[in-house]
Amino acid sequence: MKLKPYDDVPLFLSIEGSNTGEYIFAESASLTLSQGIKASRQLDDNILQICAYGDGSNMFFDETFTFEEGVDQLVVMGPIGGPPRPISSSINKIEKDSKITFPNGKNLFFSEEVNPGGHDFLTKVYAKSGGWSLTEEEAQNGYFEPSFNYVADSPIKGTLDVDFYVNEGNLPHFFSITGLVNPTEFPPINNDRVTGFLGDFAFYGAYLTQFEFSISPNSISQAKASFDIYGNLTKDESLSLNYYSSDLYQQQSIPHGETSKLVGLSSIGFNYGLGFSYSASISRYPKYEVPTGDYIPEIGFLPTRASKRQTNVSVTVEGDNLDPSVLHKVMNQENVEVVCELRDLSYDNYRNNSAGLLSSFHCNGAVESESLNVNSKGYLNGSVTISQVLQ
Amino acid sequence: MDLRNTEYNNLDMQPAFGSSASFTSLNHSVQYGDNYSQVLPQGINSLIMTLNLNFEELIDTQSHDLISFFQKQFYYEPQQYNIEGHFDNKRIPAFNYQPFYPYKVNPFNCLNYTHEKSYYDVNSIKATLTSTAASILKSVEPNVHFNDNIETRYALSEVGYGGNFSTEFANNSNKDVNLSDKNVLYKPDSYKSFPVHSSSLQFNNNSTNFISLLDPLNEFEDYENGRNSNTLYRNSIFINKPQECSYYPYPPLTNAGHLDVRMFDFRADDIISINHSPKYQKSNLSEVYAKYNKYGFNPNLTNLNVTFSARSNLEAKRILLFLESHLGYKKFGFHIQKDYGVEISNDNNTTPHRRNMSYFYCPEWTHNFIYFNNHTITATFIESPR
Repeated sequence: MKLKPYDDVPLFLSIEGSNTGEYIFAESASLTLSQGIKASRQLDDNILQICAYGDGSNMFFDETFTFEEGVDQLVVMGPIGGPPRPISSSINKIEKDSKITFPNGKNLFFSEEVNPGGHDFLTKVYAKSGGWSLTEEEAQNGYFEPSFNYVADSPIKGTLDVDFYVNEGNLPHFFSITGLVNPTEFPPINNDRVTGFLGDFAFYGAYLTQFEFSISPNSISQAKASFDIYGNLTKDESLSLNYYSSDLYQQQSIPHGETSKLVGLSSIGFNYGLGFSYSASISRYPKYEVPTGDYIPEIGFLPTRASKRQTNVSVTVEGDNLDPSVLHKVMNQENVEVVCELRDLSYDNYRNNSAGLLSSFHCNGAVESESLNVNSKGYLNGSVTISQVLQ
Repeated sequence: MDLRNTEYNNLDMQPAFGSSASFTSLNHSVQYGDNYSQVLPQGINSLIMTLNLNFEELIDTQSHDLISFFQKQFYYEPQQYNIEGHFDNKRIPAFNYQPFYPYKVNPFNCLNYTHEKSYYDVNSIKATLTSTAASILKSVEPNVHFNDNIETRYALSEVGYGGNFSTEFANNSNKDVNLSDKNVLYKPDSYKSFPVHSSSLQFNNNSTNFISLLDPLNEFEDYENGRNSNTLYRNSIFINKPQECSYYPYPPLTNAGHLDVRMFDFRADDIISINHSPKYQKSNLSEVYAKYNKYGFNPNLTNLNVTFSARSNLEAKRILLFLESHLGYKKFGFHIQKDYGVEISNDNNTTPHRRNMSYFYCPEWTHNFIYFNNHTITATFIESPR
């Protein structure tokens, strides 16, 4: 048997309201959605009380009424003497032939499927054996197992996690937590909603919450990002028809450790940098507006805003040395600043893809931790982690 | 301390899920010496609606607009003593606001609000809006008897044309009937229900037309003199489109005859707490020698705090309309917890007025919009025998 080949699945992102979008050069992507649910349960909702036989025009319970085998009987539900009470609205469905267990070994069965709507005072039941009756006491204590309703008690929310390669197209538009797509925007906060699709599945409310990358000598730089996703997915097989003719299938420019630069290492006691990792995260709070009408949008309720709260940047630099007094700088209220200039290899024969300097990532903050590491095949290296709070 | 005045003069922002509406009726309770009491509304504004709204994650301009709007009511105006020596207080004008589902536009005052700014361009405002709507109904909900102001009489019958059978709805009144798949028709003198199966149907007055039912009518189920209140004449103080709500329209039937109040046919949540505090009198002959006496004919009446959670939009609307139509003081029947019900003819029945149901009135309730099709209503039911 031939093995099924891997699919090249497109991940496309765009800013809501803009005509531009971009396929992301991604290594992996995963999308998960969930919502809070609660089972609806009501008082005595799985107890069947029979208060009369017939359509409810007579509320006297006849203890001499005898069931016949396999014959449907209309019963009125409720406490003896009435008034009747409808089947609980917490019930989603009672299957046809569901068993109703009464005391003293007596059983009845639902003659048809019941889908309660709050107005079901009557139902049809039948017995599998005939010639017996229910007493008032027995008729009030029928137990059955329905399927209950569930409600959502919070909106649909999930995450889109993607491992990808940054480039000059996707970085400023979709993966910049601290920057602005439009430099003239005021207040200077990028709160744009990102839409897109993964394969044939479209999502409509994505907001970046985490971005991180690392770089080391002689290796390409890979990044990770997480988005909060709100609302339903929809499926449309025509979404990615132009995928194989897109720019993603042209030569790609990827940041590389050989040409990238680290600036400001002397402030933490390093002569040479051996590695750099950058992580930016943001707390977002969605704003939902309670509807005034009885209508569910096709894509579910989307937040009208996902506000940005505290933004944290954390940078870990590995180097060939360590300033032993670097932790003291916090007590002296001295910040340190390091900058990573992310560059591609700038091959001359790929001019269109030679971006050179792709972007600079700054971290101006306090030293949070330091460490020394060595093993039998290496040198004694230092490592410093710097944290910065934004917004 | 006023924020700068903005040009925002029409409150159209909607709060976040979790906002709530509370209702309280201001009643006079006349107490008689034998523990018999009578409840009467204090006036036409006796049913008060209060909205507790959470406007969350507002940007600065939105919060400025909202605060400016609320503060406008209290902007400085020159005031003076009038010729009679009274201070010339200026009236606080009410503003119209469309609350969340299922409420309709009503005039409100905002007398209390809190602004919290947590991060750059992130604000939240909690506001309490009090309705100034009069708690009188233009056309009151029917109790159990036919109400000519809003109700219609109709007949339902199966008709056959060329071997195909359909159901006809004959509107035998001078009011139009508006039905949708939210509505249910009931056969008189029975509990047979016929859910409507159509998004929208209108039956003009004194006319006959076809109707689509979820379960087809058969020839033995034809009936006349059906009662229906799904008309545009039906009104509500606070609820939008009350004609979407259907209830059992006839006097509830028992084995002792018909009741003269409506039944509240909604079940409370499965976890219910019943507090028992019977009424008694303590003799005061001596501080150290006490004797206790039952007080009145019905000393063991119950006040229930009931919760109706995880309710759909329509069920929440039906509950809220039912409670509103009883104006906080009218009585209704309610099925108490199964274990407390004893048939009136049973030798073990210890309270004559209490069968498997009892009579209550509801002076206050709160509605919380948790999420779409997920409403929680908490209510206080006070037992009040008829």
